[in-house]
Amino acid sequence: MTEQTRKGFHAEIEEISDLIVQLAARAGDAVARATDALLTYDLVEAQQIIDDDDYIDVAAIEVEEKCQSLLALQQPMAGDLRQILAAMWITGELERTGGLACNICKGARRMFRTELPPRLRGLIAEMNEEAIRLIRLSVDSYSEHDAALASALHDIDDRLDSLHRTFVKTLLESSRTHDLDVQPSVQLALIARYYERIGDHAVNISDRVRYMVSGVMPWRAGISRHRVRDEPRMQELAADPAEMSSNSDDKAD
Amino acid sequence: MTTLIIGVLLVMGGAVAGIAVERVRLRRWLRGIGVSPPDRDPASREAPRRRWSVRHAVEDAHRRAGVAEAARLSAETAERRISSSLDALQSGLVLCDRSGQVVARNTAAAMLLQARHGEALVAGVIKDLLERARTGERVTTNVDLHAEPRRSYEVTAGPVERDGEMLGAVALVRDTTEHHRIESVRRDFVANVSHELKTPIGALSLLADSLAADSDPEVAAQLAGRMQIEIQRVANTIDDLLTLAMLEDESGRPDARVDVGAVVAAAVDRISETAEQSDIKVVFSNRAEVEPIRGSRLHLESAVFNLLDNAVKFSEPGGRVDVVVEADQQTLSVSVTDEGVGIPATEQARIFERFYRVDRARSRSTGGTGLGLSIVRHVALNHGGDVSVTSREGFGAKFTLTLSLGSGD
Repeated sequence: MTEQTRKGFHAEIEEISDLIVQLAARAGDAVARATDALLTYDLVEAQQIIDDDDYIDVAAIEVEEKCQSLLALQQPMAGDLRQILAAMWITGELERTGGLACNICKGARRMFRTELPPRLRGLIAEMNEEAIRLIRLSVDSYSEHDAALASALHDIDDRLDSLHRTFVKTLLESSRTHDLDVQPSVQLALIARYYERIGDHAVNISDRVRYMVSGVMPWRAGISRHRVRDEPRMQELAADPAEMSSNSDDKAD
Repeated sequence: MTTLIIGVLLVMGGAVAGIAVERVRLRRWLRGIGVSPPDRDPASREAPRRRWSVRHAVEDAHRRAGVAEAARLSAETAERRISSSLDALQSGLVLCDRSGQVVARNTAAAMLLQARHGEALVAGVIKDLLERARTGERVTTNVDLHAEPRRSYEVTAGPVERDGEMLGAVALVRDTTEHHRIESVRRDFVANVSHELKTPIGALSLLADSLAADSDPEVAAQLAGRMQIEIQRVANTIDDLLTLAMLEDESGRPDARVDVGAVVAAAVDRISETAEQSDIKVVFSNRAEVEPIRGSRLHLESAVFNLLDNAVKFSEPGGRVDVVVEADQQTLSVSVTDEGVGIPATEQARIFERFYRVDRARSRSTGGTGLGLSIVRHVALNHGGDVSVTSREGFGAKFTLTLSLGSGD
């Protein structure tokens, strides 16, 4: 490969990284907008957010196609390969985050005319802040190739999970004290779940960042648990070292 | 011997001729590289006797090089001056060439172009608009960032042309957050003032009409009672407006000595009956042991009472309101914490504006004039302090009134 095409290749990887940062900014903004629409009972804005989600989808496809053509034309290896694979996965997570913002808007639409009890409003605002914080931290870890920050995201996400539990508990109390109907109660429970999912997607991004930086595959932790439980299967896997190896490529970098 | 002499002479003559020829060549060459002989140089006209020499030419060349260097330096200085002026601008400026390559940007624009979170959206818009501007279009777009901290930007882009030839495009980014904030404060103020003043007047006019048309004394008594309520509402608003005007007028801090602990105790005493009626417990603890401070007892008591009144008004029955007086080296603070409905994060910055209401629809049921917190803020400012709020909607609010202890101001 000549010096010229190499230069072009890295410039293109750089561009993919920029596009992902943009995509994350869009997805994070969609979540914040959806929360505003939900708390201000603004159906027009809710519809606008659902329409604007198409931009997120288009941007996500753009990143995916760039990654595909780089894989096909440049046959990258080691760190470069991991960076492109991570970009493709992360794009998927961000596209889903945008989708969940739309789900919040649709939920807001289905429970229109229900006045939300103040406590639930406060908890929604807080889950929104926490979800956006997680998205931002995951993007930070991606841009800075910061595996340590990426590993910390699992623990940081605990706060959103506990907010989600508090929300469900408060919802059950409120449905009694504030006479919430079944429909809005169900919608609110789902909406809380959407925020919790947004946090999970951010954690998934951080897992992909760890893979991108160091080659570890945190999402394969299930395999090691499975090994402990299932002895014969463990031996089978141990016999095929390729299945668990991921660091072998690093030295070529 | 003679041959020898003739030979020597010939060699000497040849050498002299050779030197002459060399000299002509040198002159020609120097002219060719732009070092002109002295007769064309204005400096040598002043000293015509001075004969042109190689040394002279070298000096001349040095002088000219100096001029070129000075010109280069001054161009550099000018460029540096322009770029540092652009960097001093708060607006972002991005310039791209015909092919869309960014060729210049100031510091503010660089920050936006490298941004990672919300502002990355602005970077995207800048790139889009520069693309469109390169086709000769003039475009403006507003970008609102909804995640905290909320910001608004206005991006304008246009083509850069000279003599009909397209050279590139320029984009200007302005942070319009503050502009939008002031705009909405102004707009809401007008709407809120007319709401607060016109609603009771409208009610009075309707009640008066009904009173004129009805002869039943029982109905008349009822209507008159309602009229009194509305009159009281207008009177309260006017009183508060006058208080606010007076607080604004008063320059400097009142000179009397006030024991803040006693003032707060008095305010707590005043609210206790209302609180008891709504089954709300008000707990006062004085943790400050300080000398009386300079200030106005009347104003401070009204400020603290306003905070207490709000806390009780927005609490659920069975709730609790904590009042704490604390002091450190420079400041004395009075905090009022309730467990009531709280204030949404987006409204917290605005509640100290005049007539601002979080929930306008509920303003008539909770009473009040919409001026209470403005008054608190003015009292605090007059006492060298401020008032702040922390709250989570649904989980209560904490208002903190700080007053400076210093006798300086």
